[in-house]
Amino acid sequence: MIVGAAPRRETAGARLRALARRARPQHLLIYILLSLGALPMVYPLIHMVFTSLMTQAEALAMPPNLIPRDPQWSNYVKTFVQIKFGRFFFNTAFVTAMVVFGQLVTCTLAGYAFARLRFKGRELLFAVYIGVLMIPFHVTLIPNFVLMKYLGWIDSHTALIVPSMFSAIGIFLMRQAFRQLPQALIDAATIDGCNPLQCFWHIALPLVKPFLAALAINVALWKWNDFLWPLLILKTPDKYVLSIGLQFFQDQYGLMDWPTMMAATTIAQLPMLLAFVFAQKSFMAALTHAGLKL
Amino acid sequence: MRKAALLDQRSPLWGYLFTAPSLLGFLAFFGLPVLGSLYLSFTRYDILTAPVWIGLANYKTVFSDPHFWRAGRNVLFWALGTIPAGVLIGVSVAYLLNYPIRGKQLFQVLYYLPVISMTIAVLVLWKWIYDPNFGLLNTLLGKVGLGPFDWLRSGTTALLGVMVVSLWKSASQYMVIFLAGLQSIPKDYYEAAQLDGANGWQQFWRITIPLLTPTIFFVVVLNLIATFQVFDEIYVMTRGGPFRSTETFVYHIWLNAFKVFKLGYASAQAWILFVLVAACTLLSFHLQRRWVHYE
Repeated sequence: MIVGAAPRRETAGARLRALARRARPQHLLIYILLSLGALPMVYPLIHMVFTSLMTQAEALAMPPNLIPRDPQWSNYVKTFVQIKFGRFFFNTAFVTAMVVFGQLVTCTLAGYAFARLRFKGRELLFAVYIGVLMIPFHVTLIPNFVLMKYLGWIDSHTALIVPSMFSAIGIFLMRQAFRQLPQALIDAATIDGCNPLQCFWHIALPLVKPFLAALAINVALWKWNDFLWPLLILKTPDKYVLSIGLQFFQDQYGLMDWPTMMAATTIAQLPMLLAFVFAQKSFMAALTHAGLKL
Repeated sequence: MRKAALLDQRSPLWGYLFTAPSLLGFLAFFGLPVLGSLYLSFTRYDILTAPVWIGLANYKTVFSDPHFWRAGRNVLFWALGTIPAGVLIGVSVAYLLNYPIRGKQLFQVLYYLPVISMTIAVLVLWKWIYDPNFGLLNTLLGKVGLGPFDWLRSGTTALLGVMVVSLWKSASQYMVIFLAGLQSIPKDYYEAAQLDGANGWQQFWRITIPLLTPTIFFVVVLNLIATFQVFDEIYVMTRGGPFRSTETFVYHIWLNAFKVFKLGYASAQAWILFVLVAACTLLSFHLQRRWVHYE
């Protein structure tokens, strides 16, 4: 906080550069502080990658090695052979994709109705949705499990997908998105003979793409990480998602084979990290909304 | 003719059509279960035989259940330990990252890594870091002559160890939100303050912090709610041990419902938790008037 005096204007590039030159010692301090802070945030992940490339003997040496001498890429092959990691990976991707798609459909439709359509009972219905928002997951956990049992959905991906396709918070987000559109646009389309579904599909939806991305990213992050629900539902290893697979494998071999375990955790991180690198802007926007997810 | 009128452009049917899928979903997976949960909380139910009505007995048992109180204490400790620290770290880092310095994008990416990372994978990774014999933490401490410690299997450090991991991830998430909060403060406030001769320290305390209080409030409330629901960390890292000393509410509920099959009892606990969370949220909103500044 000692460095608070730096000017914060971001206009007029030339003036800014002049200021930056004058403020250099201060910037040096900022760099040092940021680097020191980044170390504990990043090093655990580096340690994960390093361990994933060690031999078992190296990981369990006394004193332990911190950097692999001769990278063991075979550990990554082992994750696919020993732990059926490819299978878990595919299952997770499938479940996540279905849930994202489902939420995009249900949330955009309802969000559009609350933002743009007039119908009797709209306010009442909206109040019901606000009520849904306030229900924490642990209250519905037990009866939902019983419900899955009656439906015969235990140990199936259906149980992971269908109950997750509805979200009050997603509907609120999409309602905000559609409310920002100018009414004239929709009126014009209506005069041209579009029914509400056509207005929604051809006019409104293409204009709220950033919100669709934010919703999709948040839902994907949530489902990719989901643990407690699949832990209750899934029984057959062939149906495991990554989170359950990792936990199961850790129970079985973790203490013996840390390098393979770390190779597995490294691979599990990759899809989201890659998506983050390629769509940084959308991710930042989505994560700013992410608080709402809880 | 009538059919055409039904699907007329202005027909109210469209509204019902658009909201029907989510309404059905909510009724099936939220409405019905909430009622079911309330009913089950007054019964003895083991999932194999039909529920038996026992009135308020479950609720009475909860209050004399030492493990439930222990879970409450753990959750309180968790909230007090992680939320203020997370806010402090989050605000500090976001403040530094908000400077127009070169290469700040790189730093942003580095600080965002924990929040993007996969939860279970990260928990497994930290279990390896905490490993008493070969873990990174004891290796580093050993170099300065400390340890070794059995972090996750000692009653004094287990909960703290798990909290550190949770803080590692949540501080990163707070920072994202605080950075957005900082960027939404209008620049002319600072320009006006500079004209009036305010120094950086004064600007920070008189402009930045007051205008950031709505964001801080938002982060605190959401994370308070999240703290009540901690489960994954405990399941993966300690399984509630040693000697059930690190159980949290949701872990305790899971244990009762799906390990010992007292689903009625667990439902009563879930409802007590629901009331606690709602009370906390209402209290926070009540208290916010005292310290949150809106523009």
